[in-house]
Amino acid sequence: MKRKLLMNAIGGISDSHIGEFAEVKPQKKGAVVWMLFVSVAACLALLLISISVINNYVNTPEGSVSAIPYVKINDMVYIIDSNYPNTTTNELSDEYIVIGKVERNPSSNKSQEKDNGDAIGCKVGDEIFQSPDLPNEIYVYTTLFSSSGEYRYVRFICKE
Amino acid sequence: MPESATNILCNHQDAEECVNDYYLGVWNAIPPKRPNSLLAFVCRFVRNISINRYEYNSAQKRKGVYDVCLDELQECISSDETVESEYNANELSRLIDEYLDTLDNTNRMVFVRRYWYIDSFEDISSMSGLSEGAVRTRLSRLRSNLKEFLQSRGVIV
Repeated sequence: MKRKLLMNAIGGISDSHIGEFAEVKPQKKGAVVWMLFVSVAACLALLLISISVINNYVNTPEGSVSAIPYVKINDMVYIIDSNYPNTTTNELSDEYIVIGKVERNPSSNKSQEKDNGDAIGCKVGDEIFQSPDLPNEIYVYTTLFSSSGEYRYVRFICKE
Repeated sequence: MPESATNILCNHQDAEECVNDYYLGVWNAIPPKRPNSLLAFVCRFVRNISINRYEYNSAQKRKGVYDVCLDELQECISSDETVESEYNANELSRLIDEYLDTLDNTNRMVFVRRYWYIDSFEDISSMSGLSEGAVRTRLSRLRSNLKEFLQSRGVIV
């Protein structure tokens, strides 16, 4: 009798609970597991892409290039100052002289040997300036990272 | 709609007759009744008619799904426990509604399809995407939780 009482009580549950599951379509077995896998994979992919994008843009100025900009001149490699854009200037003092120009934009293959005149990020023909008193830095007159295409002096430093 | 009737009666012909009884019953009942949910009213009508027919056909020797469901619910109230006399079926229904509201969508579906629609484990498995073993385990857990719930409400002592 008790079980019948309970069964009858279940029979009297609200219409909302009855109607909620009146028409339930069969699901493919394993569909729930597959959906979980797909969801997790999608989240992971999104996370990886986000990390890659954020990493590419953190400390990277507007109009980023795919590799770290550098210039090789006089057998020394200068890479863009990490304090960019704070070290960019529209004018240089008189002691800065032209020591060369960008001659090539090689591929960003790190294993490839760099030659004098190679540069990544700066255009061929961009002038390279240096002060004789400061051999560990150069300025390149370039539109690098300029969204408006404006020329200014961008600082590169030698880590060696 | 004949699905729940077939589940209870285990006989397609009987189930078809119940559906015919249902159509007549609904024709006579509405009006004056004006159910808020026609679907639920319909399902409830068919279920009750099917159970009545099942009990009338009590000469069946083979246990149907309905009998198995009754046996499963036996776990909720063991023989040495009593149901407080002041609780009638309506109040118990309200408490079971309350219990169902505590469940997530899948568990609620499994419970309702098993004990209201009298579906088999295989049917519930295909509806939920769970294996039959997982359905059985869930139902066992749900019955145990229902028992605790009813005990906490003072229904079972």
